[in-house]
Amino acid sequence: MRILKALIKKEFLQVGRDPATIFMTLLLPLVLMFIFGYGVNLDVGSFKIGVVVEGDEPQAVSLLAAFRNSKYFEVESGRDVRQFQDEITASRLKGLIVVPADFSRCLLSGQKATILLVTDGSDGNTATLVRAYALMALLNWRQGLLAERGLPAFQPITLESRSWYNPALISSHYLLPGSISVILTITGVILTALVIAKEWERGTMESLMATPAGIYQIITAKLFTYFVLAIISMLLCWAITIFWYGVPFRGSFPVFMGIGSLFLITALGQGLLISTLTKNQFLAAELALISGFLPSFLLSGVIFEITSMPEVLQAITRLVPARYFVDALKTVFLTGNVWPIFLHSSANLAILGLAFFLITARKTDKTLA
Amino acid sequence: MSEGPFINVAGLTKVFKGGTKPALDNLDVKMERGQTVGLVGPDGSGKTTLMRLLIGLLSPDRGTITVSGFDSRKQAAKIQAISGYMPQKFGLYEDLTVLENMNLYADLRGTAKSERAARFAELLAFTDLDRFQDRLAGRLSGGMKQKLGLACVLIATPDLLLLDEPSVGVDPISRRELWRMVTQLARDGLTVVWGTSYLDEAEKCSRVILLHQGRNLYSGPPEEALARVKDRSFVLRGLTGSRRRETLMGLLREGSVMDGLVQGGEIKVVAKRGQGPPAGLGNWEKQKPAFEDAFIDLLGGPTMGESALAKRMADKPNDGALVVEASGLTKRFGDFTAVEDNSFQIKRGQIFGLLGPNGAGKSTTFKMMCGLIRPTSGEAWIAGNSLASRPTQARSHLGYMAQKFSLYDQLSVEQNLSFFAGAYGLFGAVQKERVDLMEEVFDLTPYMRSNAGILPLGIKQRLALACAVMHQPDVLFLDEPTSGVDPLTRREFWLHINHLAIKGVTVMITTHFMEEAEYCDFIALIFRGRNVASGSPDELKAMAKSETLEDPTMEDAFIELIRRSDLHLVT
Repeated sequence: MRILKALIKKEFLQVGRDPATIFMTLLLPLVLMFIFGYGVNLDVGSFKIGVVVEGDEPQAVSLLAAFRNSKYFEVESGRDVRQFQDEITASRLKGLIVVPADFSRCLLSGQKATILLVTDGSDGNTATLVRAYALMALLNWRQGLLAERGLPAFQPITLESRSWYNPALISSHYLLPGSISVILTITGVILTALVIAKEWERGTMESLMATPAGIYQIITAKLFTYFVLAIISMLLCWAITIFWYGVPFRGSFPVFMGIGSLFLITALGQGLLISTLTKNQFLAAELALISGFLPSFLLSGVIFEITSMPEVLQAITRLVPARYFVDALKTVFLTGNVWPIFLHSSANLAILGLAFFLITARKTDKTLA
Repeated sequence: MSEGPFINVAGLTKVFKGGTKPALDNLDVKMERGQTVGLVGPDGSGKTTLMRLLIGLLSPDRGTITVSGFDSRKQAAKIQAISGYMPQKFGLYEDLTVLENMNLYADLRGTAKSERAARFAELLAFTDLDRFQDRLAGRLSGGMKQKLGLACVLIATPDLLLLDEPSVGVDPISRRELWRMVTQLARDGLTVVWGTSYLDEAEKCSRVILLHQGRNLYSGPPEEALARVKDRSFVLRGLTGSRRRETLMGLLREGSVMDGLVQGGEIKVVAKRGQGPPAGLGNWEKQKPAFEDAFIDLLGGPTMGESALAKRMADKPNDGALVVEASGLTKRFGDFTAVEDNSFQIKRGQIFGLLGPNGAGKSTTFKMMCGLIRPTSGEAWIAGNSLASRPTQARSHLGYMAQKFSLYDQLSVEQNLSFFAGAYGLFGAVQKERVDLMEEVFDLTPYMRSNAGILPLGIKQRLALACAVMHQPDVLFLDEPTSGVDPLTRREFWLHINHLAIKGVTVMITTHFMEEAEYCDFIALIFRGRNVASGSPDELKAMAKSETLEDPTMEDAFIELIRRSDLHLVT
């Protein structure tokens, strides 16, 4: 106990001296929260499109007005396709609608009237949205046209949709809770892997082991210190999410802390395993980045939905601790206390954490070799 | 206490995973309480492994170790409780202060708070770190770090002190001071195990364990080892310039001579067992043998009498031309001056030595001379080509061997040679001929297909030298080429270097070994970026001469001249 106390005191002294550690535990969460809160915005705004109207009959003009009135479009109009060519290529316009010169004539003579929609296929998501919105605007306009002529308007079925737990579909409401797992991965995996590898590299591990301090005490002191730092980061993220961004928190705080701690222990285990295997700061940083940070970003469901991934990738995500934490985080913030989800997450985190520590214990000799 | 020796190592063998040869091979060693034991051997001979085994950080594959009656396998904690171990990197936390480091180790050792004040005061006075208590360990000089490392392991007044190469990377002044402290500790009854690759340190120990390739080559008092070479060491005085080299090279081919080297204006030879000094040449005087002579004798003596490299190289014209020139070289990094106003000239076929403590500016000077960094002011020329205006031509005359092994670990020896040949602009038949030549003269045939990374240190250094000379440069820059290698490999290197110099190759070299400085025609002593003294080895020794120092060795001269420059006695 005396030894553990001495080692923990040393850890905190070092943390206090090291601006990089303070940056990574306190400032980096702020920066990342800012990026996730404002920078990564998956909400749909309005798209800038071009509308070329080749004739000036009233039908064509009113169609143009219909596009102008759509809240999804900002319209630039013109008379010739060529004047928009460059802007489409440069992606300044997300779509181009061409109303041909014979549009009104065809429409009035009862022939099939055609308009052209050009979208940028290199950005598939946007292209799909633009097509859907354009179609919607077109249908609305046709309804109006039929009514004007006194023809019986075809009554479409209306779909009343409601999004539970995030009624306004604000992306920051599900991004921010998820991002807590990314931020904690940084402290838990990367920082921990680095600081332990540093002890090996600097030869201080060897010196300490030659004193009455054993390797388990040295590691326990390290993990304890970084656990405390990560908990501080976690509380910081929690507060920012709720009080700055106004994300609701519908679950219980003890559950959040409990599952958060469990995730942290798992992350620390992963960081410890990496440093034990490499004993080298550079390699440890690379491995932590590839096996910790990137999966927590890409394979955890924070940004990309796991169920829409190919099956092989879905299988891999089962090994990513962040995935289970993200599930629990979204639930505890947006839904409330859903015990089956919490239990599922906790059980999986516990299994992964145990695995990390067991492998580490097998790879750690009490001696140096 | 327990019966028998304080430390008893019996039949100890340790093999590392993936290693073909055992790191330690059936070792039997005994050490008594209060002895200062020199654990001596080149890099990779097993010194560190033995220390880690002694303190219980590794466990033996075969054999047993007992320290003060405790078995290292079962009672490692008890051994650790009575021992202090300072690993090569001192084991300090650079972001903690001197006092915080000491407090950490005191906490770990369980030193009571009440005892601390007195013990710390004693240690801080002993290590002369009193004034630096609140300085971060990372801001201390190498010598001071080493003293702090020592203070930290001494806190709990151990019975056994294990120091792993405490003198590596530390200048002779700090080395001497550390030695003084250790001698004092040994007088108080402490058993000290001092690991080193400097053979001259072995002579000062009460007992020596000489390790070579994991085997115990010798163990006993240093005097006994020296007795092997008693009356076999002779010097010939009064030789000058390149004649010394030519004479030595001639002597090494003689049947009666085991080993020989240049010592300033003298030549020293060690005769084979039962042989007297070489006939003729002049008056050979008997000299006290050095421990290195004993080591070389134990290893069976150097195997080569002649450098196959030099034999196959074309002669450079013997015109006495200035080949390397530096004028007012200065390099500043921010407001730190690494090198200040350094000027020198080297004639064709001369060996020029840059000497100085770590961080004095030797490597920076070297890099400026190779055109690797641009001087803040001043200029340098290689074979008449300014490195500033004609760098490519200047460098084409240059062969450079960097301090750290700078070849490609993942390429085979053959691929490394071909690559460097290509880099020097040798292609096709010429390239093949040169690569074959290097293979032959450096005896690389058994290694041609092995990756360079897994070679033993001595072979790596050979390969590095091969890569530096394969384009037959006029000038050879060698940055600590022999650091860490065994004495036989060092002899081999100097044989090449001397022969190359005779052939007219100009050599600039840095070294930590004072006896190697003796080979140089001219030495510049660099301290804190300034050239504080220069001249031939004998001239430097003469400069350092004083009433208290009548016959200074090279090391004495080095320490004295630096001390004086520190006091601004030398301008």
